[in-house]
Formats: sequence, structure tokens, C-alpha cells
Amino acid sequence: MDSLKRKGIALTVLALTLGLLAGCGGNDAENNAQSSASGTGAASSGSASPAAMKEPTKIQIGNLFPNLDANNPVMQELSKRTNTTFDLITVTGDRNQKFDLWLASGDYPEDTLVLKPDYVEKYRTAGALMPLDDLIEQYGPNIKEKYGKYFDLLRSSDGHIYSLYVPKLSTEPSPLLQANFAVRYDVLEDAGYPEIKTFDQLYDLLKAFYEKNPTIDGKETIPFAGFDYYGNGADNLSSPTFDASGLINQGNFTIDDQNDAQLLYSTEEMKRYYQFLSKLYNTNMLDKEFFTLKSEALVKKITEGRVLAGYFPSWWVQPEVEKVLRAAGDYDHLYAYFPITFDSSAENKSFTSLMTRSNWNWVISSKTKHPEEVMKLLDYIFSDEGQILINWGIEGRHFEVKDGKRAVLADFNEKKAVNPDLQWTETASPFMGTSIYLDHGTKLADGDYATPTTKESVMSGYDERTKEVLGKYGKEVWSDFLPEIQLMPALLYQLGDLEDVRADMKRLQQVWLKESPKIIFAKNGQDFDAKWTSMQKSLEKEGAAKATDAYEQLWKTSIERYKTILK
Amino acid sequence: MQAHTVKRQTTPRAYKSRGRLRKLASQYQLILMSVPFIGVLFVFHYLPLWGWLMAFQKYSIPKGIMGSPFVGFDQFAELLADSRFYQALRNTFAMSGMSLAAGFVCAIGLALLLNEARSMFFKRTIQTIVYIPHFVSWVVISNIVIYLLSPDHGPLNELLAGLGAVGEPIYFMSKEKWFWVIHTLAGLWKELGWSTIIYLAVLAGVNPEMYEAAEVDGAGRFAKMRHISLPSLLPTATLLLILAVGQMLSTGYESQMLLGNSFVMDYSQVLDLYALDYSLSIGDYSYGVAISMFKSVVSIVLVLGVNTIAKRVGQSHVL
Repeated sequence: MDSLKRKGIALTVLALTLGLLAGCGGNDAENNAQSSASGTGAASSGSASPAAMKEPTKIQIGNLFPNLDANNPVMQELSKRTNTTFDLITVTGDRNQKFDLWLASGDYPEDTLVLKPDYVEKYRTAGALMPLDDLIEQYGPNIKEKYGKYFDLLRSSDGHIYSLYVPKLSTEPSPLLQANFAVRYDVLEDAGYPEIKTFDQLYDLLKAFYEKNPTIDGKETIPFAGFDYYGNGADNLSSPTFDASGLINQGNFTIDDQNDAQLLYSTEEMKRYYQFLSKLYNTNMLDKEFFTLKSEALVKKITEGRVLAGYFPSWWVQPEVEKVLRAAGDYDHLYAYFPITFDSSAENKSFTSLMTRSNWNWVISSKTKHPEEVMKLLDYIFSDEGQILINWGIEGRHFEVKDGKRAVLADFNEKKAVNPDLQWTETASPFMGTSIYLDHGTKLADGDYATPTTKESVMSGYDERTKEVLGKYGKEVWSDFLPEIQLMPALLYQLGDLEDVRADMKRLQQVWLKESPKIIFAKNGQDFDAKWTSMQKSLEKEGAAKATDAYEQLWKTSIERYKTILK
Repeated sequence: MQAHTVKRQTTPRAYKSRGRLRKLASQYQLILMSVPFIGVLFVFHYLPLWGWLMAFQKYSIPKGIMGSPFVGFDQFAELLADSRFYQALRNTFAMSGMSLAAGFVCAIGLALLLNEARSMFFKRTIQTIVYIPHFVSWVVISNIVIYLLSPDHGPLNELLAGLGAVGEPIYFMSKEKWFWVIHTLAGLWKELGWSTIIYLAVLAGVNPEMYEAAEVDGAGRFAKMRHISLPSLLPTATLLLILAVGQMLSTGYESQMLLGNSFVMDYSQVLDLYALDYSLSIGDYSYGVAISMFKSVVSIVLVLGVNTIAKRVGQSHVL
């Protein structure tokens, strides 16, 4: 009896302990199962290929897309063509935290992963990356060919290459690109379709329409609106200032021709844009909720037909607004996009592109056992064939060649329209959307486009009304309104942040975010000036000069280096 | 002789420790059963304390904890010198305090009232209705609140205008001083029903004979509430208060982040948001650890403080 009881207790303890262990270990077991499953899948597809080939190399890749199906046709094709199998390590949750965690624990993917430039730098200093110079020399013919004279731009400040990204090869702007200041079709029609170039024009146009139509369906018309995406109101203030002034968007600073930096929050340009907003506010033409409106709430106001104009960046307006309005058949309330500035005679430099697109860069981990195979894979993506595979998909399944031109299969297009998730199971790869696909509008050696996003494909997505409005201006797509794209070797905001002034920058930003709404909502010019001056004083107190000097130094050193490279 | 003395000296101690050991040995089953849980506690709550070292370093990920240089109390000095930190501290205490006070009074009040409801159907319906917001996320709650208070045809402004109380719609969310109140009311609405559950359970457990005896003595409804229901709730309420006070500094930042905006920044930034802004989002982990250490110390002081007070006034206590 006693021994039975004892056994019972021992069993309980054992069960509890095992339960705990199982709880901790569950993840590993799952991971193993997953990797072995993908292993067998790859093996079976491998056996179909000629036996003469050597054993495919297994490459572990850091992947940003949780929805990606690792066995989709494009992935299988890529496997076959490069004689590799893939083991995807998918990043879920907050990417930066994951990258930090990977680095801190040394648990980053074995072979290759994709990182933002600041993390490339972090990983490099920790010795987690392999210098690529020799590998490219030996196994990277396509990379060298695509880069040509820009090759040295790939080099990091110590002279070595640590990450891969594409150069800007296209001569035309991406047809998806559009200006950010939006004006509604019916407002333009009412005034006889003038081309809006300056803010004075915009103000007069909005005022005339607003006076004629003070309310729409019983609710007040909102001539100019904005939204608050990140919960701090910044969306309405910094990028619009750069756009409105025709300045190169350098993040928190402006940089003049002498390469001197100035804190954006203290510039005359920002003051001028604030004055425009303030004028709108005091004539009741600015949305009352300009600084607090969530983006969904703005979509609601727009679908009610009350919003006449605003600063609507394309990443937001294309998916969130245009889709909804087109689906509702509400074509009159769509928006036209003009690069509006204060001074239409001055050169507009606000549309810039880097000579290289360093955004999500591919690196090779120092842990890799077969760097040459990894480099061959990345080099293959740089080839024309590789680009067509990751951008267009597989010929006959996703696209066809008609009259020597690639076109997405109508059938596949229709299916994609019905099921937007189809890309994950058909054409997606870890390379999608990273800095390794060539820009929309780039032409490959065969004279045809590298990606399916072309002027024709963009136009085919337009409705009749949009084509009519564009026709009034003699244009085909909104990108036709844009000034020439400025090619830059670097932009300040992508040079990374400076540890020494990081906290200062944050404090400056908070002062700016807090004071800006008060300045813009000032009752009159005197009040406006007083509040602007008081913000300048606070900025000075929080170390504006120190931060500006530090970033100016960073900019000057980098630009000096690029000058010698590009000579 | 010498050896003899030594032996005599050690004997009582040996007896004592043998007694303790015997006591432990007789409970070995219980001790064995607690081992896994102590293990969990140790692994998840004590091992990570190793990371507190970061607060005294200039931690950088590439160098790791072992390689980062030590900087002594620099992080704490910086923290205590930052005026924004005090602002965040003030906001955290103010909002937690307001939520705590409002939550306690209203939850106990509602529980007492519900306890008196005669119709079971009515009681259950009300309970269910007040529970619902608890299961809704702050994202949704904040959107509802912002919509309700919107100056652009928001229901509250429409109502006030309809009553003729205001001419111009009021932009509630832009009023700095009102943020604490709006935040407290939103939190109250979300959590009120949920926090009555425990009180209702306690009230259900009160011996009905006490009420009957009170009735015989001629007590009315309010007298019964005051002299029987309320005193029965007090031990539980104190216990919950002590636990809640320990959490005062770490009430999260979700609600403040979602309800806040650039107008009310000075009143909406709480410690967790401050930590997020000045440490995690800019990759300064040492500073973040320093903030969290500060929070832990203050929390312990608060819990011990309330516990001592509760002991003094003869209420239940945790420690």
C-alpha cells in the first residue's frame, strides 16, 4: 500500500517534469519536423532531375514573408536551375527585434539573409558577415555586369563589400510613382482642368469649390485633409515639406549645395508649409482632425465624398483609397496627383532615387560552409533569367511571350485578382520586394521589361474616368507629371543613425511633434510667429546644433567617399 | 577534555538540525512536487536577472554582455537627469492612480448593487453586457472612443449640440488636461464588468444566516449592504489593492499609445512608452534595462508600503 502510494507520487513528479520539458522542447521538435518535411519535398523533386548532377546544396535563407509557400512553382524552378534546396528561416513579429536577437544569440541563418543597411553594419562589426569581394570576383559575373561603373558603390566604408543590392538601371521613372499632393477630379473639372503647380493655385481652386459647395450630403466639405498613421502626426509635416519645397528628402535634415545640413524643423521651408496649413485652418478649410485622424477614419470621410484634396502618399492612397472608390464605382471622387511646390520656377528635386537601391540587402553569413554556392545563387538572381523568374514567374504558367514581349497570362491575372494570396503559392520567393529585383521600368538585355509593372499594366488598371482626366492633360499615367528623377549616390536618412546623438534626435523630434499642431492651429499671424519662435528656442535647448553638426559630419564624410568612387 | 567540550557544544545544534532535516524528510513528497515549479520560477524569473548587468554597461549587441564596457551608474544618472522621465513618471502614477481609484470604487459599487438585484435574469444580462468590453482589444476601444468624441459629427458632440449646450463642437482629444479623465473613463468602461467578478463571488459566499439575523434585528437593505456585504468584501479588496499597487508602474502603454496624439503628448507619455521610445526603438538596450530596474525597485517599495499599512489597520496582507 505504502509503496504504491510512493510510486504514485514519483509518477506525478515525473509527469510534471516531463510536461515542463515537453513544453520547452516543443518548438524544436516542430522545427525538426518542418525542416525534414521540406527536405523530403526537395529530395523528391531533385530525383526527377538528371542523376548526373551533383547532390544539390542545401542553402539556409532568412525569409521575411510568413505566408510564403516554400514549395511553390517558382521556388521549385529556382531549386532546379541552381541545383540547390532551400531551408527557409522565417522572420515573424518585429523584424528589428528578431535581427537583434539573432545576432545576440549567434543564431542567424547559416547561409544568407536579408538585412536593412543599418543592420548590415551591426552584423558586420560583430563579424557575422562574410566579405564578398573575392566571391564576386570568382562567382559573380552577373553582379559585375549589372553594376558596371557603379561597382565600387557596393563597397562599405572599409573598402570591402558585405551586402548585395541592385543598381538603378532604368532611364524612365517607375510608372507606379506618382506625386503626393492629391486633388479630386470633380474639383478640377469644375475649374476646367487646370494643371495645379503652386500652392496659391491650389488654395484658390479649393476655395472656389468650397464656397460653391460648403456642405456635401449635409456634412461640411473638407477641402484639405491628412491622416495620422504612426500615432504622432509626423506624416502630415515632414515629407510634405520636402515635396512642397522641391527639396531632396533627407529625413530630418535639409542639405544645401555646400553640403551643409540644417535641421528640417528649423527651416524656412517648413515654416512656409506650416503657414499654408495655418491659412487653410483659419479659413475653415483644413480638416479639424488633421493631426489625430486615423487612416481608416479618413477613408470614411473620403468615401462620403467630403475630402477635396490632401497629402496622400501613394503607398497609402493606391491600396486604401483608390481600390475602395473604384470598387464602389465612385470615379468622380478619385484623385489626380500633382507635384505641387511653392515656387514653380525653381527646380523640383523632391523626386530622387539612389544610384543603388540599398534597402533590404542580401548578405552571406560567416557561418556558411559553402560560400561559393550561396554566391552562385545570389548571382543567378542578378542574371536576366533570374530576374524574369522572380519577377514574372514561369513562362507558360504565369506569363507568355507575345510578339517578342512578355505579358502576364490573362488567366493568371484573373485568378490573382480574385485571390490576392495566390502570389504566395505561385510566384513569390524570399527575394521578392527586397533590394535584389531591378526597378519597375528597367529593361533587360532582350529589350523587354524586368518586371510586370509597366506603363501598359498600370494603365490597364485605370478606369475610363481616370483615362479621361489624364487625357485632358495629355498624359498617360500619373508618373508623367513628375519632374526628372534625381540620381543620388546616398541619402542622409539611409546612412544609419548616430549613436551619440540618438537620444538628442528623439527629444528634438518630440518637441517638434508636440509644438507643430499648436503652431498650425494658431489664431493669427502674430500668434503663429510667437509659437514658431518658441519652438525654435526649445529645439535649441534640446541640442539642435549638436545633432545637426553630427549629421552634417556624417554626410560630408560619406559624400567625399562617393565622390572619389564615382570619379 | 577538549574534545569532550567540543562535543558538548555541538550536540544541541546537531539535534536541532537533525530535527529540521527530519521535518523536511517527512515532507519530501511535497518538496519533490514543488521542484518543477520552483525550476520554472527560477528559469523564467531569476535567470533573466543576469541581464540587469546591461544597465551598468554601454551594451552593444555585437560585443554582448561579456564584452561591453562597464559604465557604472551612468545610465541611471542620465535617466534621473531627464525631465521627460519625470513627466512620464508623473503621468504613469496619475493615470494608474486614477484607474485604480475609479476601478475600485465602481467595481465594488456595481458588485453590491448587482448582489441586491432580485431578478436573476436581469442580473445575468447586466453582468454579460458589462463583461463584453473586456474581451475587445484596445485598438477597437480606442477607435470607438475617438469616434464618440470626434468633433466631426461625433455622437457626443451631436448630442451636446442637440441639447444646445455647445455652439462649436468640442475637440475633446486635443485637450491636454482632459486626457487623463478620458483615459480613465475608457479604461473603466473596458474593465469594470470584469473586475466585479471576484467581488460577486465573495458576496455569493457570505453566510445567508447573517443577513437573516440582521433582518430579524430590523436592518433594511442599505443597512445590510453597509454592515454585512461591504465588510465581507474588504479582505478581498485589500488583497487586490496590494496586488494592483505592485502593478501600478507597469500598466502597459497600449491604451495611452492608441488614445494619445501629438496634442496631448505631455500628458499621455507613460514610463513604458518612454522606455519604448528612448531605448528599444532606437536600440539603446542599456537605458531600457535601467528604466525597468527603476520600475522594479519602485514597485517593490509600493507593495511593501501598502502591505505594511494594511497590516497596521488590521486588514489582510500578502507578505
